[in-house]
Amino acid sequence: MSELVRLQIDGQEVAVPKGVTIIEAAARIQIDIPHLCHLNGLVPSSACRLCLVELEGTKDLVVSCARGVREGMVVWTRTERVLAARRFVLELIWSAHPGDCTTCEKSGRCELQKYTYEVGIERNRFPLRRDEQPIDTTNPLIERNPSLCILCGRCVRICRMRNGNNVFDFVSRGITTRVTTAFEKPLQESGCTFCGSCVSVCPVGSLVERQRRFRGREWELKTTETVCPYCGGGCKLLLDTTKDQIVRARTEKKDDYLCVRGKFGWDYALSKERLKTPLIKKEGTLEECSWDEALSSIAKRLAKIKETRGPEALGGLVSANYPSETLYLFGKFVRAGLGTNNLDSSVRLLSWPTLSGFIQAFGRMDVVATLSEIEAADTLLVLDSEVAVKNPMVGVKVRKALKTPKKGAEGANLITIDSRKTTVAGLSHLHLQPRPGTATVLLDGMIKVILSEGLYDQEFVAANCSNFQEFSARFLEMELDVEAITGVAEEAVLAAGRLYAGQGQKAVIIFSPETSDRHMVARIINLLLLTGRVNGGVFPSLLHSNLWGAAEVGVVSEFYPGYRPVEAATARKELENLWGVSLPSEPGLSAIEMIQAAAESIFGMYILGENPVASFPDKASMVRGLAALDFLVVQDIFLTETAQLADVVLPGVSFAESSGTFTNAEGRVQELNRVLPSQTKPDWEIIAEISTRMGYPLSYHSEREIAAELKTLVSEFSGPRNSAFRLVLTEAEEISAEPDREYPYRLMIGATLFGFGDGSWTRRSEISRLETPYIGMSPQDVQSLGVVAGTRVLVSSRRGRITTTIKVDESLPAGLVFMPAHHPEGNSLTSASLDPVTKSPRFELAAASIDRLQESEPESQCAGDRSLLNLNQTSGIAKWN
Amino acid sequence: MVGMAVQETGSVCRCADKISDSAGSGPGGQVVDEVSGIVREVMTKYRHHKGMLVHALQDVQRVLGYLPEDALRIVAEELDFPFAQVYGVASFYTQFYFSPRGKNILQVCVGTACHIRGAPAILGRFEQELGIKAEETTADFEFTLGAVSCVGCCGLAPVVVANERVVKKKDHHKIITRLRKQAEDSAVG
Repeated sequence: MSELVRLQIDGQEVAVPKGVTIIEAAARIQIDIPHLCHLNGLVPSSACRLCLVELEGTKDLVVSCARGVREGMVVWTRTERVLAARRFVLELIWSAHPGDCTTCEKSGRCELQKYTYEVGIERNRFPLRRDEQPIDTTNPLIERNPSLCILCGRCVRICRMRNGNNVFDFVSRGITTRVTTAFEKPLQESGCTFCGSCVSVCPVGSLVERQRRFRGREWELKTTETVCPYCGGGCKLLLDTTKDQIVRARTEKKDDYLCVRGKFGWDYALSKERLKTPLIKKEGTLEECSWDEALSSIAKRLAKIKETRGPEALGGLVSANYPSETLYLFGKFVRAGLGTNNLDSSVRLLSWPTLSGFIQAFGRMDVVATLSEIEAADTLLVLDSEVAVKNPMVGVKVRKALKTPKKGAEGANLITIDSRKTTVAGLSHLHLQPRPGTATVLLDGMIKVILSEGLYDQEFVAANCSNFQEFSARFLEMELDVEAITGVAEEAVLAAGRLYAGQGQKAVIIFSPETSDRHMVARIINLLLLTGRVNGGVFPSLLHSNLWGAAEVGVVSEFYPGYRPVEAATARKELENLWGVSLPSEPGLSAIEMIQAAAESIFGMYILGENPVASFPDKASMVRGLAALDFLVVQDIFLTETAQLADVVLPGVSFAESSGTFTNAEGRVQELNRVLPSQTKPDWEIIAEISTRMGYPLSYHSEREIAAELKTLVSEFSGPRNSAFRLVLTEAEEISAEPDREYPYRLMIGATLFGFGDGSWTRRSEISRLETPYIGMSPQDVQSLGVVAGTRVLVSSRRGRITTTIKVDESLPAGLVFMPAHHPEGNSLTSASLDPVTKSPRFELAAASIDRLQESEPESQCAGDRSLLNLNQTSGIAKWN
Repeated sequence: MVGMAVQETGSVCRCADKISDSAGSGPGGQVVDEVSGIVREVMTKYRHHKGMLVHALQDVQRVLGYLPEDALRIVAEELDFPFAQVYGVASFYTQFYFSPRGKNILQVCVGTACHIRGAPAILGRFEQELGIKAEETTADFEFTLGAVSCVGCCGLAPVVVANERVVKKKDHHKIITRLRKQAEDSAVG
């Protein structure tokens, strides 16, 4: 504990640690000193002068937000002199604040309004001295009204200090000073990531959410706490609502962080395109129908396939964006109701090598680090550094770690392994840039350094890793020319190995499961074991909200809930007893296998919230497969590309109308609460009703009942962790297609901030207006191709081709091109080759070519290519040649 | 190389018209590359010296005649400052300009003494003759007209300053023609 300082405020004694300011000390004894520029967590700027107090022994009033406490200080916060000064400061602020509280969105939350009322200022003493300035409405999310700005600088500081982004600063001087961007450019041209932190901290109405304008007064809003539906970060979201509308998303504390998806991306739930009634295909066209017609048709058609072709001709596919309760019920319906193990989810594509690898190695998943452990780490090893895009909260924590003093260091050490020069890479102490697709070999290089220099945790290894000697001997025998393969200098690998292995240091590996195959995961596990960091040594940046939960409740073909293997007879018995039916013993097909087996062994599918046509690799074969099914049910909130192929479409509910639980990337189980009344039926009710109609009654009254049943299965299983571990030696395969003369570029498909998953949510959100579909190219490639930003190009791979627009991306090395995963046609270019062990599609960099579209070559011709794959409701399927 | 040539002629700007011509060529265009080369050269002695921001800005403006956006981006990068902050600092001082300035800077004092002795009429005449308002620059980048408050020689009121030299009262009506002629002569010579 640091040394305590005693002082007196308004006659009360208080003891606080050294380094605390007067305003913070006062807050501890519930004395609120009015303030506008001060905000916990930001360095003081003493800009507003509202927090002046009297300090005995000092002639002038002092600024309490910037003055540190001293032993024996005597402070008075409400003397005549202080009150007069406070009043005067407020009057001066009002002389430059042409505020009209009647239509200002901040009214009711405005801090200036609050203090003005408290002090009791009825009329401006001074004339208004600032000209009205135009309101900035050049972007869809943040409205800036510079006239209302009181120059407190909170936005400048939160953007710079917490987010490291520096969009704003004070410009000009004197009475014309204003807070704006460099050259007064629109936010989207100033490096803004639209996290909305500036809006959250603005004490007045100068920065407001555009979505919030004229949709309800502050005092009419009802607040519900729930979880963000987007990534695996699982940020807590407070949604403010009027009777049937979400008005705003915010955090508990003003300075808490949300990213653009959390802060502004909820609006898809209110989209006019939401499905409200079931649709049924009649003569090739989807038409609205009654619930009864839809449900009975589904029950009948599924039952018929089951009867004629056997239950193994059916399959179920679900997205991991649903609450665990819904996922569990879907799994139960498919396994027990339909009677097949052909059950899978987006877990397969986005995290299966990681989750299955960890379960196998450690016995449990909860070995992963928490977000606060990232912040407290001494060393961070970041693989694939777009974590700040995938889990933006991880980016914030990494930044914070760099600034949090550690023993013997000012902040954490950051090692980044990434071919791209991303923002996180720019902050690194050591940035290794391997050739695209060779990071696995680089990790081998680090393992070699750790083994050959004896940097491993000898005690831990001796006690827990029985095969260490054998592993070490075989590993060191291997011929490994890291530099030749990866292009990273030997010294850099040496430095990285030594820095990471540092004895007695807390180190966390942060990586992206959707780009890590089982070979990469094996190396991560080896690093954890060799350094004895099996607890809190790794953080998988899970891309979607409930991937962890989905795997745990058993919506992957090879595991029942609680990671009970389907092949294990004891597990099957246990489930048969609980579910009251006999279960199939043969293993099921995985997600992509099911669609590939369409019309051969799979004839009917039930897809809940997943959109393979847009989000699975090799679009052409996905369309072909799904269209060849005898019967397809899709349950979703929008008429997605996949739903357009369905025989029956059921309207589901969005996160805002759901309750249940999500398990985030830290393994934290969080409650999702219903914020709005359901627009249709809750998803679990629909599933239960179909199952009941098919003769396997699922009768629950609420999600809570499902949760209770699920709890017995999941928590019971959570037995002790493995205490004996095995180091794994696998031989990484080079699977990415080598670029050649015909296809000279390597194409990487990945996440961006303004899109998500298949894009079916974000495309219907205002946030998508900040990013049009593009392909990113390095400045060198742009130059050698003779194109500029905005040039329309044709991108081709061995699988297909699409047209898109060039964007210059300085983070890319020459030869690597990047396309957002939610690009509407991006998956036309990828291939669905599966890893034989994990059955996940391999993350590969496709070889691609890029050609400028000639002026003479009208775009419609290429659109014609696209329309081949465009889903035509009448024909049901597009042909691919 | 261009940088050197410009430096020799002192504060007269040679790049202004080039830069304004380049508006359509976008990033990566040849002209912007030229500016970037000039700025990088100026910045070599300031690299990572955060305390030298204002000096660096002055040097860049001396060479380019004003502070274009691309130049400020390079200054920010070289000194490791946020771009917004560099702009914020530059905008604080009236000595820095963000748009191209004319070859001739014509300033009319509108301080108290000059005002009484007819400055508004002089300014009005100049505005009419040049076809621009005060604080603007002619389309051919020959003239920038400024209205300033007191240049410190009220005894000579009304005061007109052309390229940092006070213009005699009897020459006020001839100054624009004379400067134009000088430009033509130097172009011919």
